Amino acid sequence: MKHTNNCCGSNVKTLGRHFVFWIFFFLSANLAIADNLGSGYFFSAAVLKNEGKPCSIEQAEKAAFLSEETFNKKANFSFGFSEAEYWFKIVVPPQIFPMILRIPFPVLDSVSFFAKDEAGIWREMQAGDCQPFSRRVLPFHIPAFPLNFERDKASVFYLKIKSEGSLTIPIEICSKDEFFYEGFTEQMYIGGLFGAVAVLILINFCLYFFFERLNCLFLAFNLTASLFFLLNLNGYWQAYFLGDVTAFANASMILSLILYSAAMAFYTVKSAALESHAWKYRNLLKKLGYFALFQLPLMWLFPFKYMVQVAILTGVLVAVFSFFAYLISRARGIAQVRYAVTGSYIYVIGIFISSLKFFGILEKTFFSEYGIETGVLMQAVFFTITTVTLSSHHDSNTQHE
Amino acid sequence: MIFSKSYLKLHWIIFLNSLIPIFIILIHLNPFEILFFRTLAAVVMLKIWFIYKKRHFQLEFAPRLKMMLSGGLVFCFWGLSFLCVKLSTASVYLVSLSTAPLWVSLLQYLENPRTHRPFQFLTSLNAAMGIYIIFNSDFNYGSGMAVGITAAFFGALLTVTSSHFSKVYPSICVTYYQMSGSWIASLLFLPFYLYVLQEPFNFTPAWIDLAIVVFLAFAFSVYAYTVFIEVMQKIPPFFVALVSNLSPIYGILTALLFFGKSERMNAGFYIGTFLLLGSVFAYPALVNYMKSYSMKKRS
Repeated sequence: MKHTNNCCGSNVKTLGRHFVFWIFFFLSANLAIADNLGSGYFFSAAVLKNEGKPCSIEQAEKAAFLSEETFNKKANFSFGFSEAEYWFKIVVPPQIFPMILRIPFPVLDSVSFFAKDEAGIWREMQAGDCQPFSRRVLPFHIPAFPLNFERDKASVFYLKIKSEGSLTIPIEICSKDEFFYEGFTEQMYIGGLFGAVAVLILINFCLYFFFERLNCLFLAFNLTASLFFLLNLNGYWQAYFLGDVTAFANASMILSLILYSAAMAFYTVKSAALESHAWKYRNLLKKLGYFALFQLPLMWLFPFKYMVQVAILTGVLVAVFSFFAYLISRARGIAQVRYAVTGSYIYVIGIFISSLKFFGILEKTFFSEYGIETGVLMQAVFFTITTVTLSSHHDSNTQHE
Repeated sequence: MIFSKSYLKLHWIIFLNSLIPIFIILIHLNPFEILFFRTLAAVVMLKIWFIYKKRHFQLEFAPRLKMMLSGGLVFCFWGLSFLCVKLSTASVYLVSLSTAPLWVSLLQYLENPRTHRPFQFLTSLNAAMGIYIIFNSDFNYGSGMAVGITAAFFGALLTVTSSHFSKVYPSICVTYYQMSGSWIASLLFLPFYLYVLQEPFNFTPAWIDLAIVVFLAFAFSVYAYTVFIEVMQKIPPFFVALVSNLSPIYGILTALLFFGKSERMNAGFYIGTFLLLGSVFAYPALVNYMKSYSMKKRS
C-alpha cells in the first residue's frame, strides 16, 4: 500500500514538474517573440556633414547633410568614442495621430530637439542626464519629444546630441498612445523587479543581523549595488532621485559600476571559492575587487570617457570570472553552489543579449530589452537560495563536528 | 596522439558525415523521393555487405518487428532532415542537428528523473539561448530551422531506442532492420503522398541523382559505419563524442567553400551557433572533469 502511495506521489510530482516546465516554456516563448507587431511609421534621418563641429540651428538648417535614409519606426546610429556634437535632420510624413520621438538610451549627456512653432520660429526642447530634469517637456526617464505636424507636407525636425564615451544613438518614432502604454508597462516591470530585489536585500540584511552570516551582508551589498546600477542604466536615478543635480550624473554611473564590481567579487570569494576550491579564481576575484575599489578616487581625477570604460570592463570581468568560479566549484563537488551557477549564468547571458540588442544584432523582445534586469532578478533569487543552502550546510557540518 | 592514424580516421568520418547536407542540395529530387531511394539503396547495400561478409543473424520475429517499427523514427528523422536542407541551407541543418545531444539528455532525464546529472540544466539553457539568438537576429530560415530541430528530436529518440537494441544485438543488424522499416514506412506513405497530398513522385530519377543517392547509402551506411566501429575500439568514447561535435563546424566551413554567398549568414547566426556548440562541447568536458577530479581526490 505504501509503495502504491509513493508511486502516485511520484507521478503527481512528475506531472507537476511537467506542468511547471511547459507553463514556463510557453510564457518564455511569448516573451521571446520579436516586437514587430506595431504599424510602420516611416521617417528619414540624416547626419550633418560637419563631423561633429558645434553650430547653431540656423547654420544646421542651411548645412549639407549626408544622404537621407528611410527607417521604419527605429534608426540606430553609432559614432564610436566621441565627444563631438552630432546633428540629425529628421523628416516625418504627416500623421493623423499625435506622435512622439524617443531616444531609448537614457545615458546621453545632452539632447536638444528643435521643432518649429506656429509662428515658424525654431523652439528648442532639452533632455539628457547632464541637463536638469525639470527642463524636460515629457518627464520620462528617456529623452522623448512630442512631434507637431504640418497638415499636408512632411515635417522637418532637428536633433543635437552630445555625450562623452561610446556614442550610440537609437532614434524611434511611435504614437503617443503606444509611448504611454509602453512606458506604463515598463514601469510595471521595473517596479516589480525593484520591489522583488529590495525584498531580497532586506531578507539578506536580516539574515546577517540575526544569524551573523557574512555572506548575507556581502549579498545584500551586491544586490544594492546592482539596483543602483540599474537605476543609472535606465535613467530612473535622475528621474526619481537626482532631479536637477546634473554634475553628479556621469559620476553616479561609474560609482554604481565600481560598487557592483567590488560587492560581486567579494561575495563570490566568500561564497563560491571555498577553501582550496577554485583558489585561482578566488585570488583573481579578490584582486578585481580591490582594483574596483581603487578606481573610486581615480574617477574624480581622470576623464569620464576613460573611467567608464575601465569600470564597464571590470564589471564584465567580475561577472564572467564569478560564473567560472561557481562552475569550477560545482565541478569540484560543491553541490551547494549549483543555484549560483545558474544565477550567474543568467546574469552573464542577460548582459550578452542586451549588448547584442544594443549593437543592432538582435531584434527588440522582452528578453533583449530587459536582459540585464532579468539577469539581476534571477541572480538575486538564485544567490539568496545559495546563501541559505551554504549556511544550512555549514550549520549541519558544525553540528556533526 | 591526436595525429595518430585512428584519430585522423575519426576526423575523416566526422568530416564525411558533415557533407551529407551538401550532397542533398546537389540532388534534384524532392525530400520524400530522396528518402525513398536512399533507404532502399541502404537496405540493398547492407544486404550485399552481409552476403559478402557471410554474416547471418538468427533473430526471432518479435525483436525483428520491434526494430523495423523503430524504422518509423528513421523515416521521420531522415525525412525531416532532407526537408530542412531543402527549406534552408546546409549550415542551418547542421546547427539544428547539433541540438540532438541536448534532446538525448532530456529524454534520458524523462526516462530516469532520479539520476543526478549536474550541468545538464545549464548546458540546455545555454543551447536554448543560442537558438533564441539565431531566431531573433533577423533570421530568414526560421521554418527550416524549426523542421531541423524537430528532426534532431527524432534523431535523439532514435539514438535512445537504438542504444536499447544495441545492448542485445549487433549495431549493423539494428541499422539494417531500421533501414528496412524506414523504407517500408515510406512505401506505406507513398499512396498518401500521391493521392491525398497530390505531390508528384519521380519513379525514374536522373542517373546522376541516383548515383549520388547510391553513393550516400554506401559512404554513410556501410563505409562510415565500419570505419567508425574500427576507430571506436582504439579511441576512448569521451574523445569520440567530443570529436563528433565538430561535424557542424566542418559542414559550415565546407558549405561556405562550395556554395559561397548563399551559405553566408548574419552575425546573430554565428553567435548563436557558437553558444550552441559551446554547450555541446562543454557538457561532456565538464562531466569528464568532474569524474577525473573526484577520482584524483579519492586516490
